[in-house]
Amino acid sequence: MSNKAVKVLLIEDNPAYTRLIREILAEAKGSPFKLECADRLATGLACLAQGRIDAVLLDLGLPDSQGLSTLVKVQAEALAVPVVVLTGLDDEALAVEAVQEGAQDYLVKGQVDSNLLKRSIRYAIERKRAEEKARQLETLKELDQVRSQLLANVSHELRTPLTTIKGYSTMLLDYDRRLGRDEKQEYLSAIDRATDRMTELVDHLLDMTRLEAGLLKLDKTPTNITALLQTTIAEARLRTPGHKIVLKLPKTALRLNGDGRRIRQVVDNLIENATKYSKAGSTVTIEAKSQDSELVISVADQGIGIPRENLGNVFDRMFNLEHRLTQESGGLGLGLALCKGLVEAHGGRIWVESELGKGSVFRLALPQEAIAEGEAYGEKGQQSNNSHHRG
Amino acid sequence: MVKKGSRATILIIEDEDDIRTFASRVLELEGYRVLQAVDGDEGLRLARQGGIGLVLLDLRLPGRDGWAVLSQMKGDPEPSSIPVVVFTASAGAPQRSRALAAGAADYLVKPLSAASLKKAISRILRQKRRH
Repeated sequence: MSNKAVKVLLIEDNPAYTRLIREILAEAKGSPFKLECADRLATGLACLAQGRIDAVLLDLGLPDSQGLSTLVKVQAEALAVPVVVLTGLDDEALAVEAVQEGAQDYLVKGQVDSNLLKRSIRYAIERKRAEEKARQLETLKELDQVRSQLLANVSHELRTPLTTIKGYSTMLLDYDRRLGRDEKQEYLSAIDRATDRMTELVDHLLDMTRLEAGLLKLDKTPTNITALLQTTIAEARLRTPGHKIVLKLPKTALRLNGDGRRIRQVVDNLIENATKYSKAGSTVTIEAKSQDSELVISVADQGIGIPRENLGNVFDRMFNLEHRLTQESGGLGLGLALCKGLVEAHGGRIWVESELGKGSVFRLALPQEAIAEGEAYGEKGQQSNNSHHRG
Repeated sequence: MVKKGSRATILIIEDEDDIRTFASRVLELEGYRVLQAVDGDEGLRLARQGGIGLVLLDLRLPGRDGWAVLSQMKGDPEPSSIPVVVFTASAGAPQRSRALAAGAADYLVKPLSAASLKKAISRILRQKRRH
């Protein structure tokens, strides 16, 4: 340990004992220990909140907190700061419990001498440091596992379109003369679709990496969401003719300052999920409206729903990765995590309500910043006027 | 062009339309009869109808997955004598060992060329005839 001062916070309500500790730690000239004292837990926590404390000496029985909960509150305020618990002669069992709860050491009052106290503070600091290192190592291991899982999923997901490409292309080469013209066209189209699917996978991976690194840039422009949704839904209907896709829009056009391409990506992903997890013939309803200066878009399906215990996790990348390989559905499990990232990048939020066997409703709310009158809306070729084609 | 002795019926259990079409078409062109199933339940139903010479089985299927189909077909009390060839995008060695231990006749990793698929199927069918 370096020679710099060790800042110790003593949280103790007995003034006589506080005096004793102060004397011990200050007794030697040039003592490395600097002591701060608090006679109540609240005062101690306030001191911890300011940071710069190297170790805490903690009496568990204080006017405003007793027992193990005292330790828990200290840990909640400053998890990285080592704690030495001070305990009475008759309370050693409690002190041992405190160590099991994460305190680094304990001292029995009345048996404390100068060397023991100093040694204990030093020991607590070093032990905490070792614990931190072990914890970091554990985190790294977990990250490594997530990485392997992601790699396995990427491999699986890329192999599926690759199978189409490899299969059809070798078939076209080997059986050229025995295949009909229409059949060949069909296989070439399938190869084309498979390369699109691979491109999408690669794009998703890159987007996720950029989002996590904070490198994803939004291209915000005044956007006509009404027109955007009409185009999106028209294309979704072509892709999944088996589902009834309904679009509900208010009479006036919905406008937003946002990245149209990214908003569309989110809605596309939600519609794709909705059709993937519901039977053909069922209805998927997309609704958009202005509400409390937010633009709310919902995508509702009549599908299998999400188990209650998983509802909190569906936007969590790690969770989806771990559950993906055992699931029937394909995909990297990045879709919803990506949606969340893109919505939050817009300063919005996304959430889900679901009932098993009845269906799910995904909702996203984007802040509607004021857009000056007369600014241009929408992409080229899209009209801000939505008096036609409302589904 | 139909080769003698290759008229076995092959059941393909695969949920990806393009991959199922690819495998079906290649095997048809090689003179096999082909039955197709898009999920595990339909696959098992067809396998039990009889007359199947070989099953080509994807592992990740909706509903009852490929592992369940494999253990249903190869499990106790009367393991089926129909060879089951796994055709999967899961390239891991542990999965291969697990599938072979569960009674799979072979473990083919996607992607696969038309020629490799054809060879693998005819090899398994030859082995079966020798037994």
